[in-house]
Amino acid sequence: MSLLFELILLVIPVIILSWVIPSKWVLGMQVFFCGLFLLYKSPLSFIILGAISISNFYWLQHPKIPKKVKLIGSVLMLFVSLVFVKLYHNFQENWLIPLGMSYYIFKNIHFTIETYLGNIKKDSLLLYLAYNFFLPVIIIGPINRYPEFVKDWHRRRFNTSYLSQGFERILFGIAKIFILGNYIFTYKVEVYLSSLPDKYIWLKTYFESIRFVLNAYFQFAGYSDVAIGLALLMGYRINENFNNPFWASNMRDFWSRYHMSLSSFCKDYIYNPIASYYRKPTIGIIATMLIISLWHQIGFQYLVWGIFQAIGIYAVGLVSIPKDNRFIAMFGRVYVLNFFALSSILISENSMEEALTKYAILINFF
Amino acid sequence: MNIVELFEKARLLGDKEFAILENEEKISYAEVLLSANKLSNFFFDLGLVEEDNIVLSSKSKKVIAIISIAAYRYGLSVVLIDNHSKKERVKSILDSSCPKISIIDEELVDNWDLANYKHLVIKPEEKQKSSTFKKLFSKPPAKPEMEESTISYPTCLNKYAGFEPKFPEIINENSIAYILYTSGSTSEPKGVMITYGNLFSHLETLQKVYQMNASTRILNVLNLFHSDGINQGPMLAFYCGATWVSPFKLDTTQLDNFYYSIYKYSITHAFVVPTLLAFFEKLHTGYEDSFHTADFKFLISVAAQLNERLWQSVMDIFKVRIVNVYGLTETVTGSLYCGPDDALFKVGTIGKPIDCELKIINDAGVELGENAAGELLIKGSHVMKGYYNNAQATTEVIQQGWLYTGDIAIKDFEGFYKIIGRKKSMINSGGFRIQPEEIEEVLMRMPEIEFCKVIGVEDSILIEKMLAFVQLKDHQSMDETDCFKFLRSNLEPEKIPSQIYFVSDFERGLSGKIMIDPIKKLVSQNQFSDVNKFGSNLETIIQIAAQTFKVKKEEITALSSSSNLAGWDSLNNFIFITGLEEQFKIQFTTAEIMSMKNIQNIDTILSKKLSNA
Repeated sequence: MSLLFELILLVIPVIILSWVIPSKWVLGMQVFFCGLFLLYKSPLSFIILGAISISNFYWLQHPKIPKKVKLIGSVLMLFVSLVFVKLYHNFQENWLIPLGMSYYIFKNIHFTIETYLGNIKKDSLLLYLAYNFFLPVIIIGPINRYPEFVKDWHRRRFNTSYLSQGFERILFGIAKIFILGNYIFTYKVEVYLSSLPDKYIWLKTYFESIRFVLNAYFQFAGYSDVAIGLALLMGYRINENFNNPFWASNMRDFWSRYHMSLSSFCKDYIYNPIASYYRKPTIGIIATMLIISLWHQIGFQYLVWGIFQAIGIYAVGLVSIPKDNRFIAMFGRVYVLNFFALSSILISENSMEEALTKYAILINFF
Repeated sequence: MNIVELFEKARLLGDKEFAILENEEKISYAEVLLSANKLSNFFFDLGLVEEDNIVLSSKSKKVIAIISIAAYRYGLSVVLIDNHSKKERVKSILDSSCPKISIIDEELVDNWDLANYKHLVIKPEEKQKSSTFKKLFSKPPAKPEMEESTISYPTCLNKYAGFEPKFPEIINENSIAYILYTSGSTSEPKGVMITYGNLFSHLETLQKVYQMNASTRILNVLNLFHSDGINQGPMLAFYCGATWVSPFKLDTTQLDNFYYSIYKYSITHAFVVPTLLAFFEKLHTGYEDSFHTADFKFLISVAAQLNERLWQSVMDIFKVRIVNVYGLTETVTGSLYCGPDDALFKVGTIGKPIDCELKIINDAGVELGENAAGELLIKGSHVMKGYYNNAQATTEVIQQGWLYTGDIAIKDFEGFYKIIGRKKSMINSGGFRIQPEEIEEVLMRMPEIEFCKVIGVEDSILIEKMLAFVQLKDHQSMDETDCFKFLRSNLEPEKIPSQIYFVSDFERGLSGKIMIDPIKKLVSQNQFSDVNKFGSNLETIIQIAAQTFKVKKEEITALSSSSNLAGWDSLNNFIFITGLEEQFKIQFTTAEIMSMKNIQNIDTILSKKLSNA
């Protein structure tokens, strides 16, 4: 929580300065303040992000290295550094916490692939650094895209409607985090559920799983709202991260509405290349969901959770459901909430054993 | 409103932005008026009087705009010459217009060999770029020599600070405001004379049609030495008390700047030429929302005929209305307007006339009715006075107040006009109206050439591209590159033909004139074979897409993509691609699949793949 407030406190001077100082200094100022924040909160992140940004930029710029070698070299470097830090982070009892690394590694992979595909032509180190050191999204995303960032930078002007939208989003975000997330789904519901007598153990376990995913959703969507709002105050529009995911009527639809910046990243850079390479969409779905799960945390529970999500998506193609039927749509929404909540027991518990115990309680009902 | 009233109105605007130019340079109305005041004293000291011709040429948009406005207020006749013009052409214009003074960039004095003509050199005042530290501790810069300050612009104005303006009280409506030399033969340049009455009555029409007011912000980066650049940019903004935005040079490699500017500068109206729209159509991915701002009203296409397919396609891509304007340099800028109102709007036409009369006549001079093709004639207060010192050319095009446009038009049952051909040999390439005789004249100066013919053929980018056909003298040989080199040194870049073909003989008519139709037929046959090679798979792609995404074929266009077509999700995308692979017996690479953004783009990738196979 304090991280959020520290971020907001630091963003305030950045917002003011970005409209006061001459535009030629704005990008440099943004990089400076974001670097300062990283140095203060996580010097390791500052070193990793700085090193990755500069080395990746010059590697991709190198005139003599073949395009394919640049692509493979860059993606490998980024992927290995992410896996290494994630594993190290688990093994070393959390003393090493690179802030937002999963986000900026994916942002850099996106940059590398788009450069390879020829969609990023005008390179500028300052713009690239500003994209990487972009304060609003540095902690928890969304994974914004480079061409959009560049476009907004060039279009940028003081706009009162952005200002009011920005404040509104920040307010919504804070309300989602504190009122819905912290107060209702963390405090009130948890207290109520723990007060239930043991004879309602099934009900307690079931609603706990629902509480877990709704809390996670409101917290995460709240942070995304704050990030989007802060970016708007600086004159940038960044992509939405959630679009009423629990209004989806099947799991494929759900994953196109939940953590959209990650799922669209995975669709573009994991599903499409893998499915087209093997000519098998199923392999694409499995690979995508595995990456999404391991992106959260490298571990067996997340791996199984990812497989569950892949099955949920794959199952959509097996059943032919008539469209525009309100009853079926409503039933689908109930199914989506339950599927996601029940499968997420795998990641809400500390160990696989505890998760299996929860499943045993739920199955015993029948 | 006339120029005198406009100056009164501009006084009330004070520090309001009149223009935003390169490097974010802003010019206020107050600055324009102050410069005009000083310039009036300068003109007075030079002994200039109303209707005296002055030549103006500079690469600085600011200088062109300010001096033009100031000269109009003083009642002078401005002769604008493109700073890229070649020496021969400039000489013929100077000989024709006999200016009292030429106000030009320093390098043009040598380039155009003007040392013997009376001239004032433009030397922009260089801003000191030193740091604050240096400014504090360095010696103050030495004051320029008095002589220097009197011979260059704008330093020559410094001595007039605080002087009362020396403007005439009224400007005669029939006086010539400007003379714009159109493409013509060097021996007989055609200077279009536009009077003050023509100019300001037309600006009134433009303001009314485009619905402009003081909050309007016009993006116009077109060449200021052409009527659409100067009149629909700084002059129209000045007339409306609006802001003219021209922050970059028109360059198709900088297309993104155009898109960015719409939002960045809160643009309300943007002027384009069809060639620019052709680039919009090709390079739009990621920029489709460029015109979706609270301020933006519409794009205005000027200077050339707008192809119906291109027009609709760009409107579909960007979801923005494109107003098509038909006019000639001889009618200031426009005469017929297709849009912006629904009552005037019909894609594929040039709309309806505003503030002028039209008629269509046949070869016998008889006025025609609806749906009959004939030459389009225009009459109105904006029609030019004539060609400067060229009574014969004037009589050829203006008879009893009617301007003979040389364009073949029809009028439909709803009153919309459409251009279907051209009577004159004029070529409109990339928005530039070019007289082929001018290029032929230059080519014929080459000793190796016996005969030549320059024609215009349809082109997807330039709308019309120029092709030169050359017949060499017996026993002469010449390289194509030599020919281009010669043309480049004698003609402006836009007048260089796209290709030069060497022919052994020309087919001629009974009078001995070279016949154009056989040449065009030959060219079109070659072009069609090119077209067939490219993009012929579109129909099959759309058919497979319709089957895969379970939508009607009619719902799919070349611009359909996963973001705007129902059923095109990531799984179906894969099925669609494998369907294409099976149909065309090819296999796309992963990189190719990842590059596929829409149907058009898939067609391009597929065509390349098939041509390589």
